[in-house]
Amino acid sequence: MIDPELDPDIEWIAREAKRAVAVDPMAVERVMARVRLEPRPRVHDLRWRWIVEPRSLPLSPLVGAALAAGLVGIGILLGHSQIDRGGQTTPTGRPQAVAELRPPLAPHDTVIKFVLVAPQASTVAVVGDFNNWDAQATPMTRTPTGGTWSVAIPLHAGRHVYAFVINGANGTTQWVADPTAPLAPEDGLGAPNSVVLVGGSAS
Amino acid sequence: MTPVSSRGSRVVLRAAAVLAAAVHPLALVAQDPDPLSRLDPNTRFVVEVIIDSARVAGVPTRPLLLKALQGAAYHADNRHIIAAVRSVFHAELDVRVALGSALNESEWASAVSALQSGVPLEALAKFRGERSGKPLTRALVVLTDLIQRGVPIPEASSAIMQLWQRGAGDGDFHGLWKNVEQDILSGQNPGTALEQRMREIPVRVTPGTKIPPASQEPNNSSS
Repeated sequence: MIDPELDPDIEWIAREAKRAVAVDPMAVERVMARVRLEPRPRVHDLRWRWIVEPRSLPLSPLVGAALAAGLVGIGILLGHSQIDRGGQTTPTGRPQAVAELRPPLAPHDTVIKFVLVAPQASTVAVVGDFNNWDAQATPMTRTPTGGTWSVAIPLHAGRHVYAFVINGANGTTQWVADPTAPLAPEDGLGAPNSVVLVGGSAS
Repeated sequence: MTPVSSRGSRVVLRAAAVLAAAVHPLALVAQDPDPLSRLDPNTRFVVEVIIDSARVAGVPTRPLLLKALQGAAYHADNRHIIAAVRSVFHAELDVRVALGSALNESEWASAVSALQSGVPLEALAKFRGERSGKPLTRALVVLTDLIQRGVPIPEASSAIMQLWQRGAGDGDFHGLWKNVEQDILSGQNPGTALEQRMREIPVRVTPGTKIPPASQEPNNSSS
């Protein structure tokens, strides 16, 4: 309905706007045909787009701070865990040489117990390729009953060369091979060595 | 890249930065130290040259590093440390000639030890032809130990090769070593102890294995 008091131009515009538009009967078909020609988006693409598409993350400062504290805590725990298991906390060195040394421990290691009877010793340690021949790294513990020293350490599968370092009460230090293990050859250093094989066929 | 729009996201980014700063030093201190710092500078230089040579030659470098560390721990003099490292390097080159380079770390090390204990290169090379995928480590460790305990090298090499060809397993080698060791400790002649104990080990044949007569030297098939 048109208000008779309206301006004739407005009345004309209103009349034109209300007039039904003649639609081409083939238009719908043409639109649908173009739609069918478009490649169908794959599920993988949709998922990937969902992952990589940037979005805003509403987060209160309090929650953000709590999240940060949690992540830092996890990082500290992981770092301490590595230090404790490795038994060595030292700065980095020559990259090439470091790369050649194995990590201190792996989950599939086998715990091997080393035992030596040395009643006169004041301290005993085991040194070998598993602790980079560090005489301070693996001290042995004296049993309460007598002169037997022992230590249990996890070793990688394979062949390991080692020796015992006995420190006497008079300050002398002596390297001895394990009397219960196979011997390694004299190596030019004069140090006696033993061999332990860990794992089937010492893989 | 869409710029970070919300305040919360900025907080998360700062948290990540704090985390990285906190974890990084811990990761560093958890690594091994500069292992060769235990050597004096001149010795270290020579050892590094040998290690570099080994790397270029394609033989394992870790045994060389460990040998140097062992020498340092033993307070051996520098000349001996260098000689020991060089000896391992040359032995590795020989091992590669005898056995090829398709060896694992333990096989490399046990083969080097066998050569250093006096096993001839030709005897070691026989293991290559008879290998068929079996790990060499146990056999070579026992062979080296027998020689160290006084068993003559030809007898020890021949016995271990015979066991190897007959399909002996880890238990056989370990049992042989244990028994011979006990016999030697009880005063028996090392060569005789080995000969007697060899007769006690049952023959275990894997399909397709050629068995030489027990009284005969194994075939020279290899390298």
